[in-house]
Amino acid sequence: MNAIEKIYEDLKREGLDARLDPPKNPDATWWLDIRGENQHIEVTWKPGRGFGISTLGADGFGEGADEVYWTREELFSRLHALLKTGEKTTRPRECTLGQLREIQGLSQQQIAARLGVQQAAVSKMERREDMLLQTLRRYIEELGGRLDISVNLSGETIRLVPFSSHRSDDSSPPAYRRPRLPPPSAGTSRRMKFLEVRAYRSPTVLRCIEVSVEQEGWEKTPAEGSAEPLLQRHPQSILSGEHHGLRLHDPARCLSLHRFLLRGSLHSDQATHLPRGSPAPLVSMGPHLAFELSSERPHRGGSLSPTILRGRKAALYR
Amino acid sequence: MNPEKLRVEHRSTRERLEKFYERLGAAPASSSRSEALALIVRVLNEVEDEMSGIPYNPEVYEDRSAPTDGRMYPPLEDAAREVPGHPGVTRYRTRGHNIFISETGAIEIQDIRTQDTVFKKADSIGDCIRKETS
Repeated sequence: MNAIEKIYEDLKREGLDARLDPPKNPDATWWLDIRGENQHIEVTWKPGRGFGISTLGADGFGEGADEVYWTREELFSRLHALLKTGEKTTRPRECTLGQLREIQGLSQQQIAARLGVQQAAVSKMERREDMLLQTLRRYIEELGGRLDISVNLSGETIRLVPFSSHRSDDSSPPAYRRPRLPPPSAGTSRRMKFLEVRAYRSPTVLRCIEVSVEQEGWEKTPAEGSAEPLLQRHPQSILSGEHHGLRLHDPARCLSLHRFLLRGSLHSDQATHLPRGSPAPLVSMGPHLAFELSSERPHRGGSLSPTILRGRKAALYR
Repeated sequence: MNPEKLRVEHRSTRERLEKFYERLGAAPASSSRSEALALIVRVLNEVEDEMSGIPYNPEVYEDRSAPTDGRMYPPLEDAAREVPGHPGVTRYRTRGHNIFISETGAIEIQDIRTQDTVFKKADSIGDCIRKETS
């Protein structure tokens, strides 16, 4: 008696309406149908492979299984849960880079602007079957997601840390969604000279932020300091905490530095001053903190025309 | 190469399944079991190539207990089963459906969940499968 036959016998013993559909060739795929209340569950199995489970719906034809389990215990646990709750199995979602971008409502031009490349390069990227991991990671992050690479080994899913966007010891929220902002409009000038953002963190939360900006008309902000002293020293700045973010605005110069997308909680009241430059960066900040500088200047017609400048230069310290 | 020709429509599974039945029904009738199975394989692969946007994956095709990639695949030859009392009919099991094919090339597709016959196609001499679905 093979694995699926044993499972069939056990299900029958439990009084479930199960029907085994064996193939002519025992090495081919076996089917096991289980009928519950308003539910039909299909279990597929092939010697040496896992158990596929799918709840049947109105459409679909000849696809693989929605979910795969590698042990009898896992299979029974899931089967009982499905029969008890009447819920459907979950299909693994898969799509191409282009489809992901469309899901996020972005055009190739928009993502190209974010990546700082031509639209043709994005088009090429989306059609490639192989690319550098850092290129893929950056593309995903510009979509507002993060790249996770997992390995399925002997039925266990293991996250491959060095290739994923975030370290496994990072207890920050799992993902952030980058706000959709318009790309820089044609003809806008990029007058930002230098902008640097540094965020320090304790092992779990961001504790201190240091912002320094050198921009026409801007004073350089303190070389060291938390968000709170920054606000005190620059009372013209409006500092408001958003979820995982803050906003700086200098109304006198119609400049605003905004949307610091910090992964982790910013506790400005608990901020600790850390010496500049030490210790060494733990993680390259790239994906962890994105910033955008909006410069609002009087337009010819007198209205305000936002100019979005983007940059990414930051380091995360433990 | 004309990029328009490379453009893939992304249609829902339901739309693609309807298109599959439509094209299978419009195709010339088969005169043997192998011809009918080859027709199903060709038509379904064409529909999925054109409308799913999901590349053909032999791993899923050959192992239906593997996780789905969202693409519909035709039945494998080793999915064949006998139909008790109907020696001239072969049943191919696939996800959600039984595909019955007669020795003379007639096709009948049954929805396993509802037990309804959802597609019928006569063989080249106009005969349909005569069986009692169970």
